[in-house]
Amino acid sequence: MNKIKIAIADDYEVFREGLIITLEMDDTIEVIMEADNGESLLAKMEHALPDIVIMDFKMPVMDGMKATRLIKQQYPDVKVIVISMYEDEKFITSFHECGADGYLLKNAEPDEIRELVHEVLAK
Amino acid sequence: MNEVASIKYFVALGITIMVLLFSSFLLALVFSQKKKNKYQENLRKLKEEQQNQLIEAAIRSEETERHRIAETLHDEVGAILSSAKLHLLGVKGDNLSEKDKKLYEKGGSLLNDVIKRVRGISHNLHSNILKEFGFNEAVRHFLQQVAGSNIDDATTDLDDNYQNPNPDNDISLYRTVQELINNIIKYASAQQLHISSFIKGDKMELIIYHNGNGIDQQQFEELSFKKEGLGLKNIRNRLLLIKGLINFTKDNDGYRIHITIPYSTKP
Repeated sequence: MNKIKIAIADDYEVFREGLIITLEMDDTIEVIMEADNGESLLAKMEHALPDIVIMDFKMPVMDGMKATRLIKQQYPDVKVIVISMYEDEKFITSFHECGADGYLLKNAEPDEIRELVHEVLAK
Repeated sequence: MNEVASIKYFVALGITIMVLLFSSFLLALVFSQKKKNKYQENLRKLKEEQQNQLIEAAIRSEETERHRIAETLHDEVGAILSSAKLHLLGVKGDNLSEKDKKLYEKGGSLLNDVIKRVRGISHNLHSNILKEFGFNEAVRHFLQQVAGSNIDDATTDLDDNYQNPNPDNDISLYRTVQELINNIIKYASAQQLHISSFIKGDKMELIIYHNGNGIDQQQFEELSFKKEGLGLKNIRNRLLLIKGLINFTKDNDGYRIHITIPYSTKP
C-alpha cells in the first residue's frame, strides 16, 4: 500500500521536527518534503507532488494564505491543511476562503493531527 | 472778559488733552496686557502640546515593544513549546511502567499549561482584536480571558453605537481599562465586575463597577503620584492624551470608576 505523502511548510524547523515525529508515528504516513516558506515549497513541488500539504499561516517571503491559493490553482488535487498559532475566528474563516481543506491549531493533540490527515484525504 | 474766556478755554483744552492722554495710556495698558495674556496662553498651549507629544512618543514606543515581545512569545516560544509537546507525545506510552507513565502524563499536562499561559501573556501584551474588531470586542475578549478563574460574575454592557473610525486610537482607552481590571483582579478580590458604556452627545462614558476593596478618588490621586503607582501614573498619562476624565466613587453596593472621553464619529 502506498503511504500518504506529506509536505510541511513552516519557518520554524523545531516545529517541523515535532510534526514529523507526530505524523510518522502513523505507519501509513510519510513526510516527503519540508520547506520554510510558501515560495520554496512551490519550487519543490515542481519536482514531486505530495498528497497533502501541511502549512503554517505565518511565514516569511510567502505566507500560507497566498501559497494555499497558488497550490489550489496549480494542483487542485493536492489537499491543504493549515496549521496556525491563531485561534481567532477571523483567521479560520480566511483559510476556508482561500481554499484550504482543513485547519489545525499548533497545540493540537497528536491524535487530532493524524486523524485530520486521513479525514482530509477521504474528502 | 476776554482774558477770563481764554483762561477757561485753555483750562478746557488742558483737561481734554489730559483726558485723552490718560485714556490712550489706559488703552495702551489694556492692549499690552492682552498681548501678554495671549503670549502666555500660547506658551501654555505649546507646553501642553510638547507634553502630549512626549507622552505619545512614550506610549508608542511602549506599544511597539509590547508588540515585539508578544510576537516573539507567540510565534517563536509558542512553536518551540508546541514542538516540545509533539516530541514528548511521540513517546509510546503503552510500554512505560506505572511510574513513568505518570511522569509522562504530568509532563504533557504541564506543557499544555505553559502553552496556554504563554499565549495568554502574549494576547495581553498585544491583541489584534482591537485593530480588527474594535474597542468593545477587545474589552469583551479581555474580560473573558482574565476573569475566568478570578471573578465569578464578570459581565459587560457596552454601547454598540461606539465605533472609532481608527481603532488604533482606542489603544489608550483600552490599556486604561486593561490596567484598571488587572488592578481590580490583583488587589480588590471582587466577586462581581461589570463594565458598561453609553454615548451621550459628544461624550462616551464608561463605567467599571466592582464589589471588592476598591479605591476612591483621593486614594487614586495619592497613589498615582507615588513611585510605585506606575500603573496608575500610566492611566493618568493615557487619559491626558485622549482628554479623558476619570473619577473613582464608592457607594453602599461597591466601587465605580467613571471614565469620560470625547466622542465623535468623524475621523
